[in-house]
Amino acid sequence: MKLTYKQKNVIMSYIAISPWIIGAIIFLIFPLFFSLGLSFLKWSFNGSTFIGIGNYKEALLEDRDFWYSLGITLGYGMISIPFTMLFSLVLAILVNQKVKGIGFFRVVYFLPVVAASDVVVAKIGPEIFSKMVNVTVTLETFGVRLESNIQNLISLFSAILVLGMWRVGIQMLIFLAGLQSIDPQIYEAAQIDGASWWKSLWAITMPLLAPFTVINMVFTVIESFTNIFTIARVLAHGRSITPFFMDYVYRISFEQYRLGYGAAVSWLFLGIVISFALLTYYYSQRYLITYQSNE
Amino acid sequence: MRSIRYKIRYISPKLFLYLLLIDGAFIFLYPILRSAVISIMTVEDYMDPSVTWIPNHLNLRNYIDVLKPMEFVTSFANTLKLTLTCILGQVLSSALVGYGFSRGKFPGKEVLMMVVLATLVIPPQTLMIPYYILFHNLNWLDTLNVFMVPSFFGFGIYAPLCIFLFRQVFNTLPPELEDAAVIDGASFFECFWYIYLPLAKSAVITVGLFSFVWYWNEYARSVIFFNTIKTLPISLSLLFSVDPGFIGSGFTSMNPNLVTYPMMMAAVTITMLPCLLLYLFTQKYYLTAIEQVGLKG
Repeated sequence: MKLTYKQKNVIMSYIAISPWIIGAIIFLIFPLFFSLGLSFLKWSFNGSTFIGIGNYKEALLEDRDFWYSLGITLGYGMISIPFTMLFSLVLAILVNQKVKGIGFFRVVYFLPVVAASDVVVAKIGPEIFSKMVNVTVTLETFGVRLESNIQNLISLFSAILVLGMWRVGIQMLIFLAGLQSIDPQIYEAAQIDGASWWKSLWAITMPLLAPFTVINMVFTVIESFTNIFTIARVLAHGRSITPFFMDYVYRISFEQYRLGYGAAVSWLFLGIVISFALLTYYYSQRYLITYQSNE
Repeated sequence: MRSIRYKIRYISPKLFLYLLLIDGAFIFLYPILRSAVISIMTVEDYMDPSVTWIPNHLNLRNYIDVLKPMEFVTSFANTLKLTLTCILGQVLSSALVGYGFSRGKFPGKEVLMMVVLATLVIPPQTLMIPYYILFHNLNWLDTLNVFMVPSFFGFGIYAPLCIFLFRQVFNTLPPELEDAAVIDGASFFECFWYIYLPLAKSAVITVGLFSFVWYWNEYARSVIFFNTIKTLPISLSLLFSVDPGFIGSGFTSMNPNLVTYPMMMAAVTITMLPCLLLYLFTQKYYLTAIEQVGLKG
């Protein structure tokens, strides 16, 4: 049988993406289903028993630590996202100015993303904060559960927030790409009509930047819910005592060896993060449409 | 003649802008400069409140003294081996997969691409337990396979972004090139290897450079999967062996040496240096990565 050009292309392109498909089976689908199955078990070294949705019930109804670490994690996300967005937008506007030597400033502002790993950030961090707040000590007194000490919470959040915002380069570049995609003639026209800089920012830049804001937002949601805690972890000298969700799962799974329960709470967290990302995407998309049709 | 009014109107906003920019640059550079300066101080200088930027004695011994507790030779070699292999894997696999998604005309292409990107949303915590059990059963714990094998199968660090970047770049290249080559008898993969991949050189470089930084700085997975000195990467060695306050994990008793704070900052500087140098020489590729992706696509 002779294959047509088109059929050949289909077969060949399946072969081309086959590494990803094999990888997905081994490193994505299998682990996901494995942990889903595990979450219905009461796991132990010598035999496991099936307990249905018992783990989920325990997490949602009885486990105060679950709600506590979830609340802290989501709360941190809610605080950090607007700050990060605003800060990166301001930086992007700054480095979008057409002045001599602006390339140098772009290089410098992006530099921490490249140079400063989580470990490096956390090692340098205490040096910067030593005058304001001793983060490590805060984390230690913090312990696993916060006994309604709002002071500690604020200092912890602000320390991680500042260290996280130090590496805001990616978001800055996304906004910069957005700013550069706007036709300068629009600004010239607005200037002729007598619009102030502030007015053009709100009436021209923000609406035209909206698609980039959506991407940035989804990116930042993922970042601040999943990746930022390594900083907290290292600030605590690598001990899993921080109140964030990642450490909560770590304690359950690798210190108490309750793998079934750990899998169950991971799945709950997965559901929450995905619904947050989807909600952000959906609402900003809708906002985008109404915003643009109002013009 | 330029009047005062001209100066106020046109020069002072520019001056203000430069002040703002320099201010920002200082904030971003301060932590790095500070650690570099402390790393060449003696302990006395560091404790002395009158010394802020310029130490009384230049003390380069910190750099030599810290190499031993850092297990520098082992950890540097480990990290270099890991990073270079994974870059190769990441570039090859994401280029091939990206090419498949760009030039292929198979059903379900767009949906599958969305699935690839959607995997970014999965929190690493969810996969931590099954990965641990999987790698344990494959006898991969404490080997570099933990990173190397996934990178060759399109599951390296931020691999979905790399695949997406390659797809976008291949999409911008004219499809006529392929048609012409096919008429000359070139196969699908010959088109990829001899025509499109060389044309996507900038994407290869961008993915490679970013992967270098990601793998060099990797911490979250190494801390779970690496427990012996055999595979100790430099980020963990900075964390464990140099920090006297650190408790836990298999590295605890590794370091009986006393590490002073300036020595610790020397270790930080050593760890940062490769990425920093790479970035300074190739910053163009880092800064234009977002434009290459073409976010509106």
